[in-house]
Amino acid sequence: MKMIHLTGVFCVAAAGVCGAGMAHAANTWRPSPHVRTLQEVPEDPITPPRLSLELFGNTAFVKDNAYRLVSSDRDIGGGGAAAMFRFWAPGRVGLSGRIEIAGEDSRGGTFEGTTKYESSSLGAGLMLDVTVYRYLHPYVQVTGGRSTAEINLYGVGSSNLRASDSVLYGTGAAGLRFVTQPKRWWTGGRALAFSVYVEGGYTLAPDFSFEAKLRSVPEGDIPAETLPLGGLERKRAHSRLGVAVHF
Amino acid sequence: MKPGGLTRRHVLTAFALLGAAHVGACGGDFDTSDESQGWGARSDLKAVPLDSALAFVDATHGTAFMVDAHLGTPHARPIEVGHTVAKYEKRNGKDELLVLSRGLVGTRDVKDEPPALWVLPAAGGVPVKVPLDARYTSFAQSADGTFVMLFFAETNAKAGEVAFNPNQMALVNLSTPTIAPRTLTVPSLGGVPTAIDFSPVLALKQPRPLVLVRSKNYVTLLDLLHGQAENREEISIPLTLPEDGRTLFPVQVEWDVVGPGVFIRVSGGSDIFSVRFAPLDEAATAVAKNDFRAVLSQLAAGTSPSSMVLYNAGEGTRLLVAGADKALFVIDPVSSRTVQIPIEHEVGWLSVWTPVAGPGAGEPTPQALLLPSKASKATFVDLLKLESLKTRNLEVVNLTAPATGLSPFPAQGLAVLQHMDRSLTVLDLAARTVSPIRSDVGIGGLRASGATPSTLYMLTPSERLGLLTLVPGRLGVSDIRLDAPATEVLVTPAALEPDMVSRLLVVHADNGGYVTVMNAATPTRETAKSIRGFVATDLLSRTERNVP
Repeated sequence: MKMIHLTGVFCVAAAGVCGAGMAHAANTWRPSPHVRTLQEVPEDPITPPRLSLELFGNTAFVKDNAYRLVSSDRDIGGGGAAAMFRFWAPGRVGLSGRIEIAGEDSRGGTFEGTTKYESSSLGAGLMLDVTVYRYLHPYVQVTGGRSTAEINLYGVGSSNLRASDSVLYGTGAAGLRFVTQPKRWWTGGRALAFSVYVEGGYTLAPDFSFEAKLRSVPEGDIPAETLPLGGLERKRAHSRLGVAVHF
Repeated sequence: MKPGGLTRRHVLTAFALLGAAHVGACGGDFDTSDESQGWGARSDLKAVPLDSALAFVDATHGTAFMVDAHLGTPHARPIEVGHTVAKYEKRNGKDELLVLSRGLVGTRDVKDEPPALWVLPAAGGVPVKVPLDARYTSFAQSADGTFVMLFFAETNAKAGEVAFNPNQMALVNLSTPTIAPRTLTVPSLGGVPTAIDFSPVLALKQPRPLVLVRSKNYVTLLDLLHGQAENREEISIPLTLPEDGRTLFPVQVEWDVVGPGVFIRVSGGSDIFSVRFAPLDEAATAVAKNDFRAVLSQLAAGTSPSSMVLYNAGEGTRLLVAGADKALFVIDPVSSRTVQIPIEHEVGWLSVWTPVAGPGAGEPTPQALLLPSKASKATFVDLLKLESLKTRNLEVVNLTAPATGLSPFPAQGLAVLQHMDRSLTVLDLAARTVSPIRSDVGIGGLRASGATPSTLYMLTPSERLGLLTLVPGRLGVSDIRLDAPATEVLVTPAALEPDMVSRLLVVHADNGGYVTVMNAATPTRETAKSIRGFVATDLLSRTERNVP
């Protein structure tokens, strides 16, 4: 699963890099005198992009030994999407507001792969980035939001159990972003830039606490009590690899 | 490629593909149809009724579960015990579970775990762990649950280590503040133990209980005080002569407290073995290193005795033996005199009881019920003056079909017989009447409880739990619809419940654990609650243990 995530991210990254490469190749192209080129079309000057859309894949490192129920190792892979708006950019520094939605899932290594864990997070935060070089933007960001996790245990005897919990979380992260220069990719269009980034961070949150109940109870059956499953740490370190398009 | 050739459509298509790739990478929701089996390769969960809770043991992962019904709500409490659970059963006389875990033999990837005997209280006390010196495979306990003897049962005596002595045992006294097993070795006559019996306190020179170790073709008597108060030696008693080619397995033991002595019934032979404990004087005691001498004799009791029981009807202790012969044998253990009484059928089950004395009635005398496995009959035997009155003390009643099982309820004055067609017959032991109980679905098992002495619970393969009211002359049958067939029943005494309400706990066959709880006095579906899949209780907290 994690390998597939990274493959997907690298595909995206490769696409971005290829796009940049094509742009460079286009700069060496010389038009014929009879062909109207883009350069000849009077256009508005390119303004720095303010809106960004991201796709990312991340790996969380769970310290809690309870990970064994939901994953074969301590790394749980996931991914997500984010949107950012740069609302303040004096000079080399930029401050952006961002919202992100992320998810992770795994199947348990403990009991022959019949445990499924899913978690999703919705958060909002701020990102401060600095242009230290034309293509290089280190940044720090903080995000806060709510995480919801669900554990499904299939085939507990004749029963399938489901347990879920929701907690508030806060994440601090720092990363390095490699950005292409903004460019118009079609006539009359907005200037676009692409970037790839790597990031590391740590999330603080209370533990998930799960109460399991039957996934489905036939109508008219005797009501079944819930079962305490125990807790799973939500606080954890993560690494993230992502791509973004900037408008 | 010309710059102008890359259109908005191309860019959007590229993002759509990337998005699709990401969603695929994240996995999405997967089909759960292949997930319905095998959550934890777990051996069958067998319920053990304790007093206030049902005990279950997940032998694979070494976890016991106590399921109680405090305030009417089922609740499961996991207790971690050692891995490789070999045997577990209720501790006699206590609301506790005894669990023998053999631990794990360490390898490169597996941490060594020593064997242990666990004492798990049902009511939430602290479990007691008694470390053991060998990976024993079985145990036996005394009638009051004070002593536990651990041994290598012949049937599955594999310790998983380089070598072990199958005649080594460990005696645990659970009444001492610091529990330390005492290792002893049984003198072997070529065999290994098959079972162990604890005696009551015998009228020896120094009254005390003994332990009898059964082995193929011999038995061994051990002194519980051996090695502590006095240095007494074990006594091995061969049941066959060296030239005897028979293979005899002791299958039943009856202790004569007053004699004192013990009677041993064997499979593979037709004799009953009598071992009398003759006292020794001081000088002989010092030489024999014991204060009694075992005197073996063989008692003739037909061709294939299937059951024996000691009774005393005012004329001294007698041994009643029955079996494949159409005869009943009454043996005087002192003189070895045998009286043979002809009866109409062979005997598959033999039950002796003393009726409850009624007001104004005289002293009740012991009675016996003889039940054949092939004939549709039952014979009542009045044991008073049986040796002299013989057949005049017999009364035969006809049944609708041969019995396949007998459940006596002497306190209620009833006995319930099971038949091949899974119907029942209720015998009134006083009036000696026969009341058939029919069943459309078939009654697979019967359960009784001291907390509801007048109710017999009938386990059926349907979702209905049958209730038979055991009042002589007024037998009532009813049932309750549940959601799954019942396999075990426990009724908790009201005194053990915080709200002083007795609860009925019904176990359903499910390796994930499935129990339904009702009010025992008025069990109804409407007020029932269930707990399903309780082997997952606190699973996240227990994961470290469960995943080596």
